[in-house]
Amino acid sequence: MRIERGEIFGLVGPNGCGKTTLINAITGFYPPQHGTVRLHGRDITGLAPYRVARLGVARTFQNLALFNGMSVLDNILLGRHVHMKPSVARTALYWWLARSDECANRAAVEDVIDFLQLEGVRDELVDGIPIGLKKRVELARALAAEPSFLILDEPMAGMNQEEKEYMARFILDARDERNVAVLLIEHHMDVVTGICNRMLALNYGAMISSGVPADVVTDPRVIEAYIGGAHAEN
Amino acid sequence: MRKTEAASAWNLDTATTLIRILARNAEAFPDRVAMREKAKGIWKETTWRQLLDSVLGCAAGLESLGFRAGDTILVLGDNRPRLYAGMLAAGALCGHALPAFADATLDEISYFVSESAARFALAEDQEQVDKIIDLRRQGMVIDHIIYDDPRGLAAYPHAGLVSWDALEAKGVELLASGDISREDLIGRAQPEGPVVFVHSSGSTGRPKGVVLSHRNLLEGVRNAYRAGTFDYGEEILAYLPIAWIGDFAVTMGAGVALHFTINIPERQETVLHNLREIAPTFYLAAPRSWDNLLTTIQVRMEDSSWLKKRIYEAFIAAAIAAERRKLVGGQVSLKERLLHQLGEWLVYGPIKDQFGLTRLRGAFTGGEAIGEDTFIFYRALGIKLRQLYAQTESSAYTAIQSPDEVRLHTVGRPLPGVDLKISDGGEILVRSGSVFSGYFKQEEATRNALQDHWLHTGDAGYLEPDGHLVVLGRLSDVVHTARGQRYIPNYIENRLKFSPYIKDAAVIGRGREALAALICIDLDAVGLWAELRGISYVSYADLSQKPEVIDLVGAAVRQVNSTLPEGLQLRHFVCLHKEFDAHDGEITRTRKIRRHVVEARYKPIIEAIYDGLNKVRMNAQVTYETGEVGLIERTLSVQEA
Repeated sequence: MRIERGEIFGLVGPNGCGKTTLINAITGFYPPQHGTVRLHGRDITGLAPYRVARLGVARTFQNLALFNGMSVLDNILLGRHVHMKPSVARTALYWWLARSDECANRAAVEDVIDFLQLEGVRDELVDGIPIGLKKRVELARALAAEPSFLILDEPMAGMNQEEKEYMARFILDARDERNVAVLLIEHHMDVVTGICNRMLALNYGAMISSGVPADVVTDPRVIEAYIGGAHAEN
Repeated sequence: MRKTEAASAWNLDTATTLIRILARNAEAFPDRVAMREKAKGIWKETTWRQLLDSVLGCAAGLESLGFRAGDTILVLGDNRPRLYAGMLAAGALCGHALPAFADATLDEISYFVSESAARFALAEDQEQVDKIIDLRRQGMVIDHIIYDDPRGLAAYPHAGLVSWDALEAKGVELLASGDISREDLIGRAQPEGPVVFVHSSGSTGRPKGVVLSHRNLLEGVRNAYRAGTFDYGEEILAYLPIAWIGDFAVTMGAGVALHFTINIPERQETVLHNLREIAPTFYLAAPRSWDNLLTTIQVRMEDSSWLKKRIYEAFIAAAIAAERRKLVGGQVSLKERLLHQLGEWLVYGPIKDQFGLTRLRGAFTGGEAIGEDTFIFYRALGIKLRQLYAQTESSAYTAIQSPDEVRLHTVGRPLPGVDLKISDGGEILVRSGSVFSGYFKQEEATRNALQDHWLHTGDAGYLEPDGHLVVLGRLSDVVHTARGQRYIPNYIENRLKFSPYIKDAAVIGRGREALAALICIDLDAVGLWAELRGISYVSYADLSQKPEVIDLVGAAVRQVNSTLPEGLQLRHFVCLHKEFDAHDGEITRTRKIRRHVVEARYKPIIEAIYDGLNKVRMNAQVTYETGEVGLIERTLSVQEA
C-alpha cells in the first residue's frame, strides 16, 4: 500500500477488518507484527507516536477525542503542540522569548479556523456544539499541526447530508490548498467514490482489492465482504 | 464632534459626490479609522487615506478593463470592505454599482444582469464566482469577474477572472505613471450621477430597479442628520445585506459623508459576538432582529441561576410596567426612578454590556411594525429604540421618531426637508430631494410612482393632528371580506407575529365570510418551550402539529382577536408544516410575505378551512438550496380560534 502526495486514499472494509489497527500501526500506537511503515522514504516502523507526529502525521479519531471543558480555539491550539518548544526559561521570560511564538501559533490556528469556517464557534466550549461541528474541530486540530500526511478515521460518522457535503469539500480543499496526502477511512461509499483518487478494501486484515474507486466497489470480493454474498447464496 | 473638525468635515452641501467627500475625509483625517474588519480573529483597520487609495486603485483598474460611464457592475456577497470600496469606485466612474443579496438565486441574479446589461461583476468568493460562471453558461455576457477572496479560485481557467489584488495593483500602477489622474477620478462624477443601483423589495411582482444619485443619497443623509438620527463620527456595525438600501444609505451614505467608523463583522454567524466587541453607537435593525435578540436574552436568562432569574424578572417587570404607563402618557414616580437606577446597576447595564448595547445612542427599527412587547422591553432596558419609515425610492430616509416623543403606532414626523401628504385615496405621498428620478428602464412604473415630483409610496396611512405619521400597510393590500369589511392582512399578521412563538403568519379572507390565519411557528422559541415541558418532537412539521403547541398558538391568536373588532376576528387557524421560505418564493428576502404565492400554494388548506373540515392533507413542494424540488405529504389540523 502506497499513498502519494496530493492524493486522497480511501480505506474501506467491514467492521473489525483492521482499518483502525492499520492506522494505529502507522502512527506508532503499537508496532506492526510484520512489514514496515515508511514516510517520505524513511522507515518509521515502531517509532513512538509523538515522534511520528513531529514528522508531519496528524489524525482524527473515530470516536471524538476533543477535550471537553475547553473552548474550540484551545482545542485547535493543542494541535500546534508539535510546533511549540516550551521550557521553564521561556515561560519565565515570556515577553522576550515566547510571545512571538505564541502569536505565530495563534495566527496559524486562525488560518485553519478561517479555512474550516469555524469563526462562529471559536469561543464556545466544545461540549456544547453539535456533533457535525465537533468533527470539524477535530479536523481543524489535525490541520493545525500542518501535517504532510493526514489520517481521517470516519470523519463523517453521524453526519447529515449537508454536513457530509461540507466535510467532503473541506477534505478536497485541504488536499488542494494545504498540499497534504489524506488517508480516509469511511463507510459512506458515495463519499469514498466521490472524492478519493484511489482506494483499498480490507477484509480480516487482508487486502482484497485496490485501485480506482469505480473498480474497487464493483469488485465481487468487495461486495461479498461487505454484503456477504456467500451467506446470501446459502 | 470636536470644533476643530467641524471645518474639515462635510458641510451638508448636497451638490457634491461621495467620492469627493471621501477624498475630503482622507485629507482632513488621513489616519483616522474608516473601516474595521474582523479577519482571522483580529480587527484590522483601514484609515480614510487607505480607503481612498483602495477605491481609486480599484476605479483606475476598472477603467483599464473598459468600465465606462453608464456601465453596471454586479456586486455579490456579504458585507466586505472591498465590496463597499468597489461600489464607491463604480460611483466615481459614473457607473452603476448593483448589489445583490449574498444568497440570491441564479434566477434573481440573471434578472438583474439582463435588466442592467452588466458586463462586470465583483464577487466576494468562490461561491459567488460560481454563480456568475453559471450565468455565463446560460449565455449571459459578463466579461470581467473580480473576486475578493482567492480561496479555491487559483485553478479556475475561466476568461476575464481577475483578483482584487491584481486589479488594484494595476490601478495603482496606472495612477503612479500618470496615465490616469487621481484628481480626474475624484472630480469626474457629478451630483446627479448614479451612486448606487438597488431594487425595491418587490413584495408585489418583480423587483424594480432604482438608481439613486449622489445628490439623492446626500439629501437623505442631510435630512436624517438634521432630525437627529445620527451625528458625525458614529461607530456602526455594517451587517445588513448590502443589497438593501438601508445598508447603503447608512454604511456608505452616512458612513462616508459623516465619517463614521464602519465595522464589518467576521461572518454573518458572528454578528452577535462582534456586536459586543464593537458596542456601536448607532444600530439599525429590522423588527425581526430586535425580536431575535430579545429571544436570545430570554433564553439565556432561562438558563441562568435561580437567584439571577428572580432578580431579572422582578426588575424587568417593574421597568416594563413603568414604560407602558409612559407610553399612554403616565408619569414615573420618584420610587420608580430610584428603582430604575438600581436596576441599571444590577440588571439592565450588565445585559446591555453582554450584547454590546452600552454605547448605543441611536437604536432604530424600520421596514415593518415592531411588536409592542419587544419595543417596550428595549425601552425598559434604557435603550431609546425608535421607529423610522422609508422606502428605497426616497434613499431610505423619510420619517423618524424623535427620542423623547415616541408612540408605538406612529413612525414619527417627516424629516426636515421632506414634504409629506396623504392623497384622497389614503396613500402616503412624499416629495424631497432624496426621492429618485424614476425606475430603471420602466417608464410606466415611473409615471405611476412619480407625479409632479410627488412619490406615490403605495402605502396607506394618515397623519395625526400633531403631525405624526401612521402607516397602516400597503395600499394594494387593503381587502374586503364578503361582508364588505375593510382590513389590511399585514396589520393583523404583524400583531400575530408579536407572539414569540409565531414566526410568520398569513391572514386570509378576501371575499370570504370570516378571516383565518396560516401560521408558521418559531422553531427556536417553540422548541425551547416544548423542551422545558418534556414534549419530544422529531422535526418542525412534527412539532407544529403537537396538540400542546396548537393550544399555545391558539392562545396567541385569541390574544390578537381581543384587540380586533368583531367582524375582523380570526375564526380559524392552521399551523403549517414548514416556515415560509424565500427560496420557495413565499416571502421576499427581506421577509415580506408574497401573498399570491402563499394563497396559491396553500389553496387546499384554505379550501378546507372554509369547507369546515377539521383536518387537511397537504402535498407540499419544497425547493432545497441545491435547487432540487421535493414533495412532502402532511396531515394538518384546522383549529377554531
